[in-house]
Amino acid sequence: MLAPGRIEGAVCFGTEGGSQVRPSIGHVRDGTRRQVIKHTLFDLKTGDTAKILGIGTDTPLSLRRRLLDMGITKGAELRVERHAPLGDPVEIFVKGYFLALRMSEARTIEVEQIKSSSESLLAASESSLD
Amino acid sequence: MSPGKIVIAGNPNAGKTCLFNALTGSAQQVSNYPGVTVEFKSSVMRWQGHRVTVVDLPGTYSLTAYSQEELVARNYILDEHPAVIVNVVDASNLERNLYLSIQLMEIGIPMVIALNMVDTAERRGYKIDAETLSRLLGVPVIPTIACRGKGIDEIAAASMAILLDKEQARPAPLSYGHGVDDEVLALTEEIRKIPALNTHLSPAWLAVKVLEKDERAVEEIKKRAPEETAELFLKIEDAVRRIERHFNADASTLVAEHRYGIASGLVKRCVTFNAKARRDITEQLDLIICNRIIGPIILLLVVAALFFWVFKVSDEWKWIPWFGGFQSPTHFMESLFLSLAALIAPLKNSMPMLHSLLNDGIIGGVGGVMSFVPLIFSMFLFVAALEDSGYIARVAFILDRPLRIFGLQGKSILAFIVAGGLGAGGCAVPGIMSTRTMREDRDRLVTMLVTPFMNCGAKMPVYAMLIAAFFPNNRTLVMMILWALSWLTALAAAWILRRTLVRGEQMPFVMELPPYHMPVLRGVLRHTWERTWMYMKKAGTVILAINLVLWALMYFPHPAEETNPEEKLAYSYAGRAGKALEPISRAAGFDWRTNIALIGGFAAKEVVLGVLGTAYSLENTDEENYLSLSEQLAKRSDWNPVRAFALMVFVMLYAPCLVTIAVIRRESGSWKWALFSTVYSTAFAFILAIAFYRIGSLLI
Repeated sequence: MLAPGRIEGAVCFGTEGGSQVRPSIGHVRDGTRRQVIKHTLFDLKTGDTAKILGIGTDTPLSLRRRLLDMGITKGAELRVERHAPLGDPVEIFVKGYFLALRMSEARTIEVEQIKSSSESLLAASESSLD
Repeated sequence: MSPGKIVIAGNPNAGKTCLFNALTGSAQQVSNYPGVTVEFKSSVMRWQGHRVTVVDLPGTYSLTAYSQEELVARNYILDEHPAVIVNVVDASNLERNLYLSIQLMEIGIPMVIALNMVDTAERRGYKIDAETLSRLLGVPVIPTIACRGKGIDEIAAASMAILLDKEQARPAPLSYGHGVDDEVLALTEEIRKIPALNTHLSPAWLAVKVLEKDERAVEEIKKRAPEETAELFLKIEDAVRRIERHFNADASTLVAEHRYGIASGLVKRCVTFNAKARRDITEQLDLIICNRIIGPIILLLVVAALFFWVFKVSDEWKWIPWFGGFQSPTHFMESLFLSLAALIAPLKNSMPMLHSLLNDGIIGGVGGVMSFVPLIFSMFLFVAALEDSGYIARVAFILDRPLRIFGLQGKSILAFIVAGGLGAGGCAVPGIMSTRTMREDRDRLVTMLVTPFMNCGAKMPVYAMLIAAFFPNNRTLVMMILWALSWLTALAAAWILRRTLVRGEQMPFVMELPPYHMPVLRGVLRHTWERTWMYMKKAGTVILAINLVLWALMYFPHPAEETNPEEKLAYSYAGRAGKALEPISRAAGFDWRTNIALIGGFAAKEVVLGVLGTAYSLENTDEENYLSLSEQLAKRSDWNPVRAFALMVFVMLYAPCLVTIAVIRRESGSWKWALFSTVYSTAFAFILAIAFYRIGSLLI
């Protein structure tokens, strides 16, 4: 389901974030054990769709409130629209409107990926083959 | 007797301003700066013999008091306790807009919902059942298209019905779900028991807010009932702990999520969505405008278009009829004041002092400022159209990352653009006021301190005059250089300030990219006219007064014996001050006349041109022909392009005008930063002017 490169990224930033581990969607081999890893909006690529799991518990209250006010709530779906010319900020589509936020804030939003952009491309090419 | 107030509340870009203008029919503009209306405006609505005050609150996404606007909106509702809230809801973005509606309903004030922009919603495939929504919320829901005046009468009628008979349209009680509701009810009872808290604030609202850990609500309770609250707060803590243990989540998050739960439930019941066949116009445009490569190119093209538009329309194209021929607007204004000067010429011999006062003090000074009204009008027109279209938010999106390098953020761009950052026709005062959209104190302070470096409308006339005199063949190029220089200086200053006096971490940047829409001509024109009128009023009042004072300083003491005009000026108070400063100012190439003008410019940059005009026309009182200042300077041997350029650089950067300083004082909350701003920018300006003058002189 996921490209290996993405999982690596998630591991990298998941540990860097240092926040609590949430139910995951990706698994990676760590010796013999399966290690649970976490995905955030930071790890998603343009075109990816994901379900919001929550806002990291170590996020400052003011930022968390702001994100909640803007519709970043548990269970909501978001789609990554694009990144700004220098790769940051990121624009997402959530609750029927477009929201821009920085990658540092994107890192606090924990998500479960529903569909990756490459998958939808694949689906498109498959359906066109039919 | 006044039956009470109506306030208009809603999300930014939901069409509040349109509704406000339509209801009150007033030409009153609500914001001087894009997107925000921090200083709410009020006006009077006339309805069937009643006169009701209508207040337009700043646009907010929430009432959690995140930003200054939210605080203003919330405090206004809580303190003034209006009779009716008209909540403007963007029908094409219902869920997020209802999130605010729910918070407004919590306060318990009767409400009317204006379901605005129903046409846009339909185009996007949303069909909204207003009747069901109204039934579920317990308040009237009226579909409107405020900018086209549709549904306005119904809103007025519904609001007045509530106003005149207070018991209607109480919002339905809200449910935050099992487990939370019980705690809210219990706390509401506790709060109700304390007499000091039995004010116009609804106990249920206070209960929800304290569960949310809202600092302001907690403060309010402590302030109103300092003795009885210890027990209450223990109970609140218990309730929060119970909720957090039960749901294993933060209580404030839970409450917010429940609000969104209610909103999305309402959307599910009341909205049918026909999957749209294609991407809407905003998505299509953003594919290009926010494209990583094309986006920045478009940004540059927009800036270039702005320069082109402003100079062609105001100064190069001759389209204003004047005595059988045609003139450019700028020339037209100049001609007007030249005719005035000719009109009073007969006074010169009979009453020399009065003539000097009228000619040099009033016509020279005010005329110089007024002749740039066309330029400023066309600049404001372009910027207002950009603001209205939604493009400014994209500029912030594209530029956030590069600006962050300098310790600024995407929203700083708003202040810079309003202050003249897109070209040369803004004002630092609304620019600095627009930083209220930034919650981040440090980012905001730095933005405020460097915003005055932008080329505001007042510096524009000085540039235009000097460019016309010394760079007649490279007007656009020199303007572009000045534009780039103002940005470079602002960014460099921000970088330095961020690493020295205003250190600290950067704050979050979470911003909506609103849908594009065609600028509404009437709104843009009104906005443009009001900004231009502000400029003209300044010319007629403050600048006129300063010009008169400076004229007096330059006229008195008047030598008794006849000497030549230059000696007369040198003999005056202003001349003495200017001469005293000359040894220092010579380093940047400024003579004593320029010094007089620059001293006057501390009050307002517009004055620089007026005083230069006075200083040089005073010397040419014998000449029959009134030469424009530009032509006079071009003819003088002691002036050259390098000196002119150094002067432009100095005028661009030195101390902000008095009004700006006052605004920095107000917005930063201390005289310290206002004074600092004056001193550091003057130092910056002097160093750079010297550098340009010295290096330039070597090259020539």
